[in-house]
Amino acid sequence: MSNERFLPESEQQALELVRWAVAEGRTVSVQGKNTKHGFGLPVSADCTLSLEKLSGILEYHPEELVMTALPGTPMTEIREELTKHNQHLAFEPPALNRLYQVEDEGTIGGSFIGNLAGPRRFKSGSARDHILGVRAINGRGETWKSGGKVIKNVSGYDMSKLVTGSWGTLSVVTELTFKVLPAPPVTRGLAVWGLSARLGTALMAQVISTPCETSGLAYLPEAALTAIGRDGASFPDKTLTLIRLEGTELSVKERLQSITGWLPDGCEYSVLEQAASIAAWSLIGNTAPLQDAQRTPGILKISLPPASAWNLARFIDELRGCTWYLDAAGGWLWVGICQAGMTDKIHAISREVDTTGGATTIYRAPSAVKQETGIYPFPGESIKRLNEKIKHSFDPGNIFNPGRLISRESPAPALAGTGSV
Amino acid sequence: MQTLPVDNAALENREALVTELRTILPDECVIVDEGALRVYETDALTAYRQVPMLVVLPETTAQVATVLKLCRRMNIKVVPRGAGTSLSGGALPLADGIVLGLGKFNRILEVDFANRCVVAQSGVTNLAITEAVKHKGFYYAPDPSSQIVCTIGGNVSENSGGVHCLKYGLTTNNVMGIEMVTMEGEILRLGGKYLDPAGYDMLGIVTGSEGLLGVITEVTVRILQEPQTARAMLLGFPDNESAGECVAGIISAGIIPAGIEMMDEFAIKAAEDFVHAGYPVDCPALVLTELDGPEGEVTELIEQVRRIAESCRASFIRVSESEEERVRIWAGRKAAFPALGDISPDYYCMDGTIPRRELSHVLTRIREMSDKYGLKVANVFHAGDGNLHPLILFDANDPEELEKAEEFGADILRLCVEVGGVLSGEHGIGFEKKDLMPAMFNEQDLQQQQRIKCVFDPEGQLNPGKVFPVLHRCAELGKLHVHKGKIPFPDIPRF
Repeated sequence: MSNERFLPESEQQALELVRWAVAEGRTVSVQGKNTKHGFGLPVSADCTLSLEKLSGILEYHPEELVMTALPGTPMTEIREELTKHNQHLAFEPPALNRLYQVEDEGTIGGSFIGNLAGPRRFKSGSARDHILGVRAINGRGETWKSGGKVIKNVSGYDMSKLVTGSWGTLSVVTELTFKVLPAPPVTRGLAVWGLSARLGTALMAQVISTPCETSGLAYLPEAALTAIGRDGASFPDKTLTLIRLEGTELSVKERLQSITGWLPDGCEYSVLEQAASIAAWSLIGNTAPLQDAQRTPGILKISLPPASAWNLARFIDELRGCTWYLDAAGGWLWVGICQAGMTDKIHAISREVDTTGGATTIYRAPSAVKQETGIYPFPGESIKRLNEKIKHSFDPGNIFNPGRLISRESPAPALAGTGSV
Repeated sequence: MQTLPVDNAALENREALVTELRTILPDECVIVDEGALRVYETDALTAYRQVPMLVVLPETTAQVATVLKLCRRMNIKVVPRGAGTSLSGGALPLADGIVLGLGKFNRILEVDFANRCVVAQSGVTNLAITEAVKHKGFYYAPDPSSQIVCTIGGNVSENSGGVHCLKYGLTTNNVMGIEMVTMEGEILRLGGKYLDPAGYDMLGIVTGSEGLLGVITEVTVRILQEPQTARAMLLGFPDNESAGECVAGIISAGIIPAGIEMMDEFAIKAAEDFVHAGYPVDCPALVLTELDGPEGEVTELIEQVRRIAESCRASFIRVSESEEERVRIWAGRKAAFPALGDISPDYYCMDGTIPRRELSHVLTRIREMSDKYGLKVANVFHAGDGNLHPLILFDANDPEELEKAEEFGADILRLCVEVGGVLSGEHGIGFEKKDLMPAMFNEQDLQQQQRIKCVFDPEGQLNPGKVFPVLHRCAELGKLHVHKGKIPFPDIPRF
């Protein structure tokens, strides 16, 4: 048994390694810089394939809004290059390094393979909305590609989307092409202080139902703000409803004026200028309010109908020992859970989410808890079965990141059928 | 064009199938008469025709499930169909298969402003969704030109685009959930009124799968607040190069217009003659663009675009001053296809996408091909995203011209792939382009896609003969061929 860590420098080398693993029946831990190892169940594999050295931007055409990069390219490098051309990744992939207690922010491959997204999620989508094409190696030891290097393409199945969000369990991605967009010249935050959760969510709902084109709407209860405060940022001891406006100077100013006109009487607010707004939204996107691993070792992201957010938040408050905040215009409820009774709390919350109509994803929890709850509690039996079949169709020997998303070894569902497709 | 061998057993079982179908569906929902079946013989790609064995028009998801189970058991092929507006033969029937029409799935089930979404049955038209929400200032963003008739279920199957998709995305970026029925008769719900469903992105793979993975019965889409203002600009240029430069200049300046289109001289004249939109007919190239958003921002951006156009030698600039004028500017573009239909017996619309920097080269090559085949071509172009719509004019009554038009079209698409583009930007592969798939994908790429087909429809009964050029058995695709094993490549760095 080899516990070696391999760092291929070309797709060909990665391919040879996978072919060896297939032939020898070895399992492979597929990684970038391994900064998000805390996501999913712990992977115990025979060897490690790190894509760290498969690094670099291959093509970048700002006027075509397209970039092609190798998976191991550091996020910092991607961001620097885009900034030179006043562009950005509109889905705002967050840095989850604090959440997983590592130094490095990780790679572009990691941002896509985890289908990351930030506060602009409700407007600009997540990584899956920006992936255009991939090259990859499947668990049969074959290279395959999908999509293209243009921003509009419906040729064949959208395989790139399946790989996005697969956390390295379907294929080893060796090249990614994705959409890049102009960065807004001006960004401002409107911080409204002290609204109750009911009024805060109502304000978010009101703002998004106007043509103000906000690109961020979050609500943080006092506890969430205090948590950021412990981290060095200085905020008042009040709840925060945060609104982000982006665009040209004049337009941002006009929209800010409109929104302040709708605030409840006597309500306290302040305008966050460019740098302050960027800093605040980055704290929210990076889940800063929940990062304290001592207080809330468990972290869930709940996607839910925004109108149900307030009710679910109240349910969570009653469980005690949980911190939460709302992002993505109420479409995401991030929850931090204390150690005591974590499994039961996750069960209770995810059951409630399932009833409401939504999805729970566990971002951080002790392994023993994740073994009990799974990474996606309540996926539904047919969805679970289809997920297993999809895994099998790419990786029939279950060699890539085995067990990371599906807790038990399931009997391999064969690609049965005698017909032709 | 390769077609599937006809399954005689299916034809022999036709009567038994009709009897069984009539136990599931009301009599009028099972169409058996030759004349009535002929209505379904083609979709919007009228060059291909095939009368189906039968047509069924179920009314409920449960009926769809029962029909599919029956077809699975009796080994009958099924072609799902929305409004039949596919431009790639996606709904082309099979002689030995049934067409499953979703025309009766025509109800909007829920308009949910609080959660900014609409839940609709799959046969509801694209435009009906916007109509249902516009009284509160909302709309559904993807707007294919056929939006008056095309269905939302068909939009999901084809991942439809439209002139606004540069800024607001394709169908895949606007659909939140679906209900679909697999060939096994299982009813699945993927996603819903929320952002990130758990597990692999099955919604993403089903969207754009061209009716090969399941029959979509219900769709949840996000709706957006209408922009405060929208203004259109008409920009005329002395040549395609300058027009292309202007488009690149706008995007490089950090502006993403709501729509940005280009038309060549031939298309401009045809459209102007047809609807009198006020297009400058003496301009060899025209750019139409729309800027939307908050009032102040639009005003600023219009001035910026004007400066960019002037620096790219624009000879004509007009900005819409009223909603009526804005609509008229777009009317010319939207009428480009019918306008060409007016001056030619038939036209064949291509749909490749190219990197925009290759535009000038590609247009020159298309002109050369036009001379070679002796067929005229007009170019309409979603300039922002590089999606070309060359329209080849021909007469389908002349079999030689039809063949030439097909060859010409295939040459254009191969050229698109050659310059780094793709076969289809928004119309899909369907029946039309399946034989061209190897120009873009090798055997391993296609096999990986077909394994997804095997996950959902292992017997290959759903919309067979579309998308893929070569047919493989799932059992064969499932086999694991082990490459000769050896110790890891000695040159791979490790520690």
